[in-house]
Amino acid sequence: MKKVMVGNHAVAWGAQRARVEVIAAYPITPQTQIVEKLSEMCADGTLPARYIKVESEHSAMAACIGASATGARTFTASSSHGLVYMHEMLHWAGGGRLPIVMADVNRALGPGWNIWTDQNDSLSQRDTGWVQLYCETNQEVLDTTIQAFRLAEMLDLPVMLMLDGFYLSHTAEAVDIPDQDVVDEFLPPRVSRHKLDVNDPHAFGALVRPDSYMEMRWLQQEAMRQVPRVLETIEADWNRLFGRSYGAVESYRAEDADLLLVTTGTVTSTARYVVDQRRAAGEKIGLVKIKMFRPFPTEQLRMALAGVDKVAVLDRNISPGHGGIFAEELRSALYDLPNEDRPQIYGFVLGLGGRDITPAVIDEVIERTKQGTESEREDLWVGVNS
Amino acid sequence: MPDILMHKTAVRGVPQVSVSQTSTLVTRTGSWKSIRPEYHDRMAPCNQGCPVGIDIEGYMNLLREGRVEEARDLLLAENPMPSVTGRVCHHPCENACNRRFLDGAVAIHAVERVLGDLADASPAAATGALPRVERVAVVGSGPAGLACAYHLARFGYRVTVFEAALQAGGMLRLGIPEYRLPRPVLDRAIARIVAQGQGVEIRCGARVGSDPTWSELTSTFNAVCVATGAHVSRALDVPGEALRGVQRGLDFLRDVNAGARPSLGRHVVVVGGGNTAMDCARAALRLGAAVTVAYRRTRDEMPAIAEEVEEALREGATLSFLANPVEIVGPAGSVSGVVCERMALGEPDASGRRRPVPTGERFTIAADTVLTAIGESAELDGLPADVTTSASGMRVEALGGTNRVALFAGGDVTDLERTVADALGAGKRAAIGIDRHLRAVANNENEATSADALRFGGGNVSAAQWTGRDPIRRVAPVNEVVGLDDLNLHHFARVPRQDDAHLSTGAAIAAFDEVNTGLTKDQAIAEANRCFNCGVCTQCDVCLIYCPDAAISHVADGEANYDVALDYCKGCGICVAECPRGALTMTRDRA
Amino acid sequence: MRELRLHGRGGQGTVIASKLLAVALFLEGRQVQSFPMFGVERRGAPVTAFLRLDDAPILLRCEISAPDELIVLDATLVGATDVTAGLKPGGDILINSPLSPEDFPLLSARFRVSTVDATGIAIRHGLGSPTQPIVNTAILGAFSTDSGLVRLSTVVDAIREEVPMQIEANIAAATEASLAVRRMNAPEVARA
Ligand SMILES: Cc1cc2nc3c(=O)[nH]c(=O)nc-3n(C[C@H](O)[C@H](O)[C@H](O)COP(=O)(O)OP(=O)(O)OC[C@H]3O[C@@H](n4cnc5c(N)ncnc54)[C@H](O)[C@@H]3O)c2cc1C
Ligand code: SF4
Ligand code: SF4
Ligand code: SF4
Repeated sequence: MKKVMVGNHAVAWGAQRARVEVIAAYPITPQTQIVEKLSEMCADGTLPARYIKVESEHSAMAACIGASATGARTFTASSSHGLVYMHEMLHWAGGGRLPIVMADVNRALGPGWNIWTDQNDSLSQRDTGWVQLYCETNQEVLDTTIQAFRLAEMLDLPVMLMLDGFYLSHTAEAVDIPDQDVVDEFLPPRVSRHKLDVNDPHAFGALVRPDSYMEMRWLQQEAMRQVPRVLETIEADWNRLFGRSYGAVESYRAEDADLLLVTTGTVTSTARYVVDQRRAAGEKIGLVKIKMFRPFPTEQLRMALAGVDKVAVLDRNISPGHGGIFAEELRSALYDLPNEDRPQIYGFVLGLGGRDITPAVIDEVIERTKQGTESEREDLWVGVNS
Repeated sequence: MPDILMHKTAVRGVPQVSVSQTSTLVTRTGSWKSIRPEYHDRMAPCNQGCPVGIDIEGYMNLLREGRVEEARDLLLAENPMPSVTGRVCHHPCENACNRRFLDGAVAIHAVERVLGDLADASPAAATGALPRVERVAVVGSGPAGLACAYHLARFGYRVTVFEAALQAGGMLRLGIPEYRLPRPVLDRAIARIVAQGQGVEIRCGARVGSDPTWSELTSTFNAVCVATGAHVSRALDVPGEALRGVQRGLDFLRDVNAGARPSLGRHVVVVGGGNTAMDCARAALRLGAAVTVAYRRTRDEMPAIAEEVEEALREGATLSFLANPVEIVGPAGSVSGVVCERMALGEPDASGRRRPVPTGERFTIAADTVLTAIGESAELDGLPADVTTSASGMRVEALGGTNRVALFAGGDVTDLERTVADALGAGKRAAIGIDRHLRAVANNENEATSADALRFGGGNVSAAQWTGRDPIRRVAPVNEVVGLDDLNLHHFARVPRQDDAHLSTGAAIAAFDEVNTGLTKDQAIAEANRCFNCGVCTQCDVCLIYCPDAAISHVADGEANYDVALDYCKGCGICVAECPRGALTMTRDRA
Repeated sequence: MRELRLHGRGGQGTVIASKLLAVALFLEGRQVQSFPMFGVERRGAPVTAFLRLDDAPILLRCEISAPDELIVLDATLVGATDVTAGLKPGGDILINSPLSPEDFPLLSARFRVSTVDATGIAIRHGLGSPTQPIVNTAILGAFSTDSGLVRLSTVVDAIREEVPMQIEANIAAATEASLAVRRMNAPEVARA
């Protein structure tokens, strides 16, 4: 069933189709519609889940952790300061290996107070042990919400999926809501390996001594290592059932290119538009979309980018004191490529705090990359006249 | 799903999450302890403070649970007249109440009054005691005599009360005015007492000593209890006491309580600082007089109940402190004023109060009537021969026994505290003493042996425990009083104490209607909800919730409410520290 | 691809109008994208919403700065704000007004202006209150005839699908408005 809906409602429908059992969330612009829609669905019976009202995001995640520990399929959503406020609990979910799924509507952090999109909220949760998936369209948002549960529950890892504030959250477009029975075939009920159960009491999250802590982290890392392969099988399944797939990394018109744009989120769409125009004009320009940021898809990116002359990374985020985060991570991922295969990487910072990224902005990125020199490749800001 | 185990979930035996591999039951933390908690009911300070020996905590607990009738019966097990004490008792229980450290003592007297009125409205409950053949005489129908008769009747005895006055009640009828204790209340309370057991016979107009004589009494009855009170007003012993217009306060009250409305003139001076003085002052105000109370010490030393002093002030009495009457003056044989000497407070005297010392300064208070109320004493001359007395009354032992076999005493006639509650407690002690004596005689037992079975409930004895027919409860609280340090006040929300409703001052002094109209039943239940239940487990589950080793569990039935799994209790003492009401203590492990 | 911008005031249903139009176009098999002005919602402030439509998938995910046409739900906004900012020369403007297009001479000089009394129609059909009529469905009915971009029948279908109450009244208003559009008498301005 196709419907015109905003990205926030795509999230809610995804959670509904995934048959989530517990939701604990706290509203925040621009995520609020997710919470509203889900509570509506819980109230009218569309989604027979337990909706736990909480007084903060920290508590929301704490409630999710408890719920997930009992074996319930658990979902939440947040944004910006809400997500950052959850930070401590995100570690508990990650280290506790709880397959919670969360939608984060990417929004800048204050001050200056800003409700528009950028990725600093989610990227600053990099090391909490959550898988991170960035979406480009409302359809991808809905599909990823469902897929995230399968991924999470197979590997006991929490998954965070991101959608750009307003550009997806508040933008309505046609979205296919998959049939429930087919989703059920794709996503069976959760089977949990460790369960908080009053009838079989165990201590959870208790003290772990130096003799075992590293093993737990190793196991967590081991599960993270499995993600690319597992995600691939999940996507293959999805493709078989619904005829759509996205990939942790996607190359678009990248064949024989000598300049590749690297994008995430909605910027990708506009960049596709620019790439189409450039290709039409005979230029060898393509793009590579990174959907998965954690675990970092080093292998796929090496394959996608090896041998290209120039790579321009579009970062809608900034690690103050360093640079755009995707660019920096990409640099280290490609460092081990043989010299002749290693592209020059140009890191552009743009679109922060919701600054619009138009085709003209992407054109500027391309031109600057084309003219770029060996010495000036990092921390290139677009649209700031200093 | 086949691929669910595709990743490693353990390495070197370490699981991927920090979850205990087995249940917590393998960790026998019990081996760590050397001390362990013990559920151990203790004495609530209110129970300790009540001279009647009421299980206040116990009935508050029942009332809190909405078990109103059981609460009433528990109260009636100890107190024959809660509707009376709820009105006139000086409630030392509330002074002792631990809740005063939080947000005001529980309004115990007001709750007692509500339950008392309920009791008076319903027929007496059977006690289930077997009838006994022995007959007991009680002399005097004040609170001491009525309490003795009440409990003896409940123990199964046939009791006859001899009362010199024409109506029963003692000072409750003769001394305490109606605006504090309406006569229908007193009448209903006495009616309920009379209906106990095989019935209590009250013979009014019978002054023992003349008719019948003491020896007639002791030969006809198996035991006798003397409860004749203290009715002799102390003389002021100053010049002018014989002037017209000078009257003993007690005589004045007796007349007013009998319905007289004497004219007192414009100015009335009351001499004294006790309850009699306050009642004289307030009664005089109701007769239209302007009243000055002359007292030789200060307000802090006044023996009257604090509320009575406040009421007297509110109703318009003037209190003149450090004023010691030295002469009553008047031309033509009628009083016109009281000459007082200004006093100052000196060193503490035997009673612990600072002694007033003369300053030499004199002043005169105008008076048309002077009412003297500086204390009453027992009439020791009329007592049976060769009983041991002290200056202030008969000497009695713990259970009311005197130096004469089968002769007991209690109340104001003895040398103990003189309040209604003390009289009720003394009457109960004498009843138990008589029961113990008569049973010893009947069974040829040694009195001392059976006395060991008696358990003192703090400030008094418990009739329920004496008879072993405690209608409701468990083991008696032991004689350890729960103090503030034993409580955990963090578990209690602040809820302000509810005050009794009162008539407006104008309405109060216009007539002799009851001034304090008390609390409603709902308010009383709300007050019961404020009670901490000091020292007694209410099964609130705090210990169970706080125990870090989940060692505490419910017991389906049995003596205790909870079971402590000693294999797991590590003796940390958290349960004891958290118990809101000090019903748990740590004790050495037996192992 | 065509890009539209809608202007209204709080309470008139401007954002819903863009969503309804998107649904109608989607029902006709077009690709659509609709969104409000990104920002903090302030009660009573002027409201702007956008719509993209195309037959091919829409790749642009940025704001619309140079729309092809405008729908103005409140004529008082003309003059009060720069409603035509970025509008392509010769672009279409549909204004909710009882006046005729010629009554907006400054606009009709540069753009193709049409008017419809959506307010009067909405009030007649009992939509919203007389002081705060909800004009979005009426103006969409007018838009269907004026632009030819969408059929009235699909606008009606979209109303059935999306509008939670007074469905028949809304349909009646849209239908009436579709017949009440007033176009410019002057020859067509050259399209860019
Ligand atoms: C004016 C006044 C106000 C008081 N207010 C309070 C108060 O508010 N709260 C409080 O706690 N206490 C108060 N008291 C004290 C309280 O009334 C007494 O402590 C209490 O009544 C003592 O009880 P009792 O049974 O020992 O004696 P009483 O109540 O004095 O009763 C003794 C009874 O024995 C009778 N009697 C005496 N001799 C004989 C005899 N030979 N034969 C037969 N019968 C005899 C008397 O007639 C009397 O009825 C007040 C006292 C007075 C005088
Ligand atoms: S008799 Fe007096 S001391 Fe005892 S409970 Fe009642 S008011 Fe308190
Ligand atoms: S709180 Fe209750 S149990 Fe404790 S002293 Fe006060 S009345 Fe007694
Ligand atoms: S809290 Fe538990 S472990 Fe500690 S002393 Fe009490 S019963 Fe024992």
